[in-house]
Amino acid sequence: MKVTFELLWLIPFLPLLGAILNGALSLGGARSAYGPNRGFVSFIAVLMPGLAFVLTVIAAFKLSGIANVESNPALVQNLWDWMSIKVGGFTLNVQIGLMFDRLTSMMLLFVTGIGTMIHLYSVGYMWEDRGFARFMTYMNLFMFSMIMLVIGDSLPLTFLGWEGVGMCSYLLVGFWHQNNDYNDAARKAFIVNRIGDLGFLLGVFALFMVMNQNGQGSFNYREIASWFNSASNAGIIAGSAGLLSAACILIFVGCTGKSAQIPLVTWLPDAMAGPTPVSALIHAATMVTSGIYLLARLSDVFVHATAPVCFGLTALDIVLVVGCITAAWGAVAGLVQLDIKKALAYSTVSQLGFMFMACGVGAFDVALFHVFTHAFFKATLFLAAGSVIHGLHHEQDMRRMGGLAKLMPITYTWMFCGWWAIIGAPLGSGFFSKDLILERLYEAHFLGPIVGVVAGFVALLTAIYMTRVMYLTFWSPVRHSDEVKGHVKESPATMLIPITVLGFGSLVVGVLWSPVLGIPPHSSFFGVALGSNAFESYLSPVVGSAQKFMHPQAAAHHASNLPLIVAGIGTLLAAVGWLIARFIWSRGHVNSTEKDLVGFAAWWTWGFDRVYHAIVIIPTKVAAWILAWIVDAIIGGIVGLTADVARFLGDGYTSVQRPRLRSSLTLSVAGAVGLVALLLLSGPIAWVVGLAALAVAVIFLLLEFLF
Amino acid sequence: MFHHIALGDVQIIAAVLFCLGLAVALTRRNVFLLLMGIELMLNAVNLSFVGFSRGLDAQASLVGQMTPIFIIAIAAAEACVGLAMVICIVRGRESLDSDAFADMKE
Amino acid sequence: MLHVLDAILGPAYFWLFASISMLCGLGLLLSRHPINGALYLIGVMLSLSGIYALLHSPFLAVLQVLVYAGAIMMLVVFVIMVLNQAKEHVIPLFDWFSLAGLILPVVLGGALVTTALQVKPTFTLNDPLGLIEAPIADQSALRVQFNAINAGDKATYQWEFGDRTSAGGRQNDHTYAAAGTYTAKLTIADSASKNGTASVTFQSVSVPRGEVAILAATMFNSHRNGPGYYLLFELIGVLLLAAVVGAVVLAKRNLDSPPPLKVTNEEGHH
Repeated sequence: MKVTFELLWLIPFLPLLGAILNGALSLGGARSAYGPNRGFVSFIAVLMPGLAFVLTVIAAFKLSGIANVESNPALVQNLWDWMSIKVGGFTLNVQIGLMFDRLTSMMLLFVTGIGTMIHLYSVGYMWEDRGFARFMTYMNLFMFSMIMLVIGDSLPLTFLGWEGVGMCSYLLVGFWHQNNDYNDAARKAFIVNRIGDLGFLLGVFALFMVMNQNGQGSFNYREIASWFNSASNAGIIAGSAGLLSAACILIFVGCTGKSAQIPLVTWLPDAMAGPTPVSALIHAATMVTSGIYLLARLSDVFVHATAPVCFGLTALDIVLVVGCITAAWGAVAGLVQLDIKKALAYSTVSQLGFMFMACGVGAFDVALFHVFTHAFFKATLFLAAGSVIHGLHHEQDMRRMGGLAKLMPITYTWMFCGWWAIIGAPLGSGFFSKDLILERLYEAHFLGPIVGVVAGFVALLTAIYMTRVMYLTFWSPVRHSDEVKGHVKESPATMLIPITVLGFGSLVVGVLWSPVLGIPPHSSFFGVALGSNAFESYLSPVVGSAQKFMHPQAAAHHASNLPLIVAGIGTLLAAVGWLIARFIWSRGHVNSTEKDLVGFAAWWTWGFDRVYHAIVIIPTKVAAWILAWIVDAIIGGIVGLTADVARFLGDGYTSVQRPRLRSSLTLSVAGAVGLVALLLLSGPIAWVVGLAALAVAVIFLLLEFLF
Repeated sequence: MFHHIALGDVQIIAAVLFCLGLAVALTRRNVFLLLMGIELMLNAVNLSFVGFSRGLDAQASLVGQMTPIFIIAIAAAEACVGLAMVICIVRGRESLDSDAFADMKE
Repeated sequence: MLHVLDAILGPAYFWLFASISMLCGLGLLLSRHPINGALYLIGVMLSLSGIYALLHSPFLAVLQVLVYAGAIMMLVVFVIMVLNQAKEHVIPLFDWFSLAGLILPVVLGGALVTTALQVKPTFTLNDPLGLIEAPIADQSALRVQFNAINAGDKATYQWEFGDRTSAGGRQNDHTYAAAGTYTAKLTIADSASKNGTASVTFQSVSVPRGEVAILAATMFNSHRNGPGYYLLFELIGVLLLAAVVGAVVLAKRNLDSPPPLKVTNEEGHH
């Protein structure tokens, strides 16, 4: 059921307007020493995403007013036709259309909400920076791109936002472009994302080819979903299973690029070169979750790709395995980090792996629930880390932190909440979402329990490395460097308010899918069912059909004791992890051999950069060398030959050329007149004119020699 | 409605003016007169276009007059560049005689 | 009344302006000093503007005065005055090169005028009763307006145009599809004064030079190709901008650097 909502375009447009205004201000103030007026810039920069958030809330209420739940209610707005191709029976129509269904509303609520909070935080964090207005421009542009990614109603529009967030990530990672290492990190993020984007595009085209077999190819999400759910297309789906699996794998490659999964994982830790608000907004809360969003969006496609790709694994099984390996890899790497932001970055990689695991067993709603809770607690952790870095005068090395619990009490309080949530301690938001993932893994088919054991181990590691961060930063004795000792202070209010809001959120948002409220499951509030599984019922119009296809008899799973068992195990793992970390790092001492574990050559990276070097960089260089040779030898030869011929002819011609301007002019006009006589005129006139032109030419050449 | 000026006559006038301009451009040595001869030729072509466009129906006639406007714009551009070049050359050579520029071959 | 005045005065004004423009063109050719030439050229342009107005092209007439006579020629005059040098008078008006150079314009002009005269349509009337007024045609005589005399209210007129089409009515504006020799026949009946037939024979030609104008006209045809005008104005704007920038760059470079030494020419003259 679709309802048109005329104000929908404002949600992406307002941040774009902010980016345009701030961009103009930034350019206009580029000459002055201090840049444009910061108050005005920050007013625009915070107001625009804030208004987008308000509009999103309004739209969400309007959406919940649509009664018919079963047919995926959505607010839509068609802006204009983008492309319309009709060639020989091949028809393609793409509209610039916006769609605000429940998945979009969930994503947009935290994208704009958390985004606004982080904009507010950036005002405090970046206030002293020379490029304040430029930074705010990029942030607003990122908001626009991210909103387009989730609000577009077709794959090309999502791709627009997909590219946009990639570009903004590049701009923001390399924001401090005076440092060349940061530029390298930005380039790495950009190039790795390009590889993923290639997969995305090819996958989309393959998907279109599958659907176009009965002439109903489309990029529109609603049409894709209804096509795959239509019983009449089952034959086509079965007939082109290979192509469909290829499409899914390619789209998943795109997701691995954006969401930093193996093998396209290495850019995310490097991307911590950007300012901390960027890490919080882009590399923790929003952009990296767009891979999950896309999988959920195309869930109907993925569950129908049942053909085995390799080793008998289907596309979703590959998602599951990749997510599992990535989660383990990120957790192991997180154990040995010295930079507080890098530790959080590897934690993000690991948590994204959790989300992909959930997708891999077809629990898309659980994955999105983890996206939701993760956005809160990871944003909290990053912002608190940024507050710590800000308080310590840009010190990021955890070996020179410690004892901050007393010095920065507010930051500490909310970082504690974020930590409580991420390790899965009882009643934090991570407790619910992570346990749901483990539960679904154990319920799944043969691969699930194996992966589930690994996931439990990863949960233990998560508790260990996050507690390590807490010990090294807050709980251990003070080890500050001499420059900052005694100058450590709490951050300004513009930074603390967002941390407070998000930290509180990271404690409580888990109740959206929890059995603790005691509210009857079928009571409702504005059409949204409250109680134990509000989140699940909220998303079921979007991903429910796919999950029903994957687990036809899943309705019974709430009845068993499994949730209680898993919750118990999760709490136990968190506690054990905490104790292990306390045992090792409670004194703030870090094993000094970790000094040489820097960069991607270290053992815990499993040699990704070497693999890249072998399979991407060296072939590229060889191809470039061959192309250079072709350009030099063949094309250069042709160009040189042309030049030589022209020079030869020109040299010959100069000996005929007459020095007088009038002579040259007359000779050329005589030639033109001769041509006119030859081509346009006929009869005796042509003869007269042509001979006259010839005579003039002869006379002038004679005169030139006479005088 | 038809016009009472014979359009063939317009073409004759245009041809005469064109040839006068050509004569100025080919025979006079002063670079200013050279440029002005070119302007005169352009004007004659304009007149020819307008004359021909009168023979077409109303719509085609109207859009046919766009070509002279185009030529006028080009002539303005050409005059700017041409005069600037004349100034450059004359400052270096202290002469307006085009025969004094006879070393342009090198 | 005005129509009659227009019919009489139109050609008169046309020939007045035409004579002025040709005389001024001749003056330009023979002027001793460039400033005289510039004034003659302004005369040409103003009289051309008058001709444009007579040809029902008022916008072009205004533009001719504003841009050509106003802007361009003012620029030329200014530059002439800035660079005015007394010794310019020593440049001889004509030499052997000039006289030889005159051959081309004369021959070309003769050929063009002859061609233009050739394509002027001639109508041979076979009209003993005096039923037909002189037809009016465009230069190719592919489109002709036939007029019969006024033979009274009850008269009927029947035209056969010679290309197997016919029409009634006293006045007919007919367009021929292809060039050729046509004989148009008029029959007047039921008239109080004159009944009978008359015919007019003429040759219509397809003029290649006319097609150039049609090409130019259709190139900017907004009905067929969308808003082509805008592209045109964009082009004009870009050209003007390029010209101004080029002029400024040239002038600045010249101001900044000392004038180059005069290069002596070793092999140019013999």
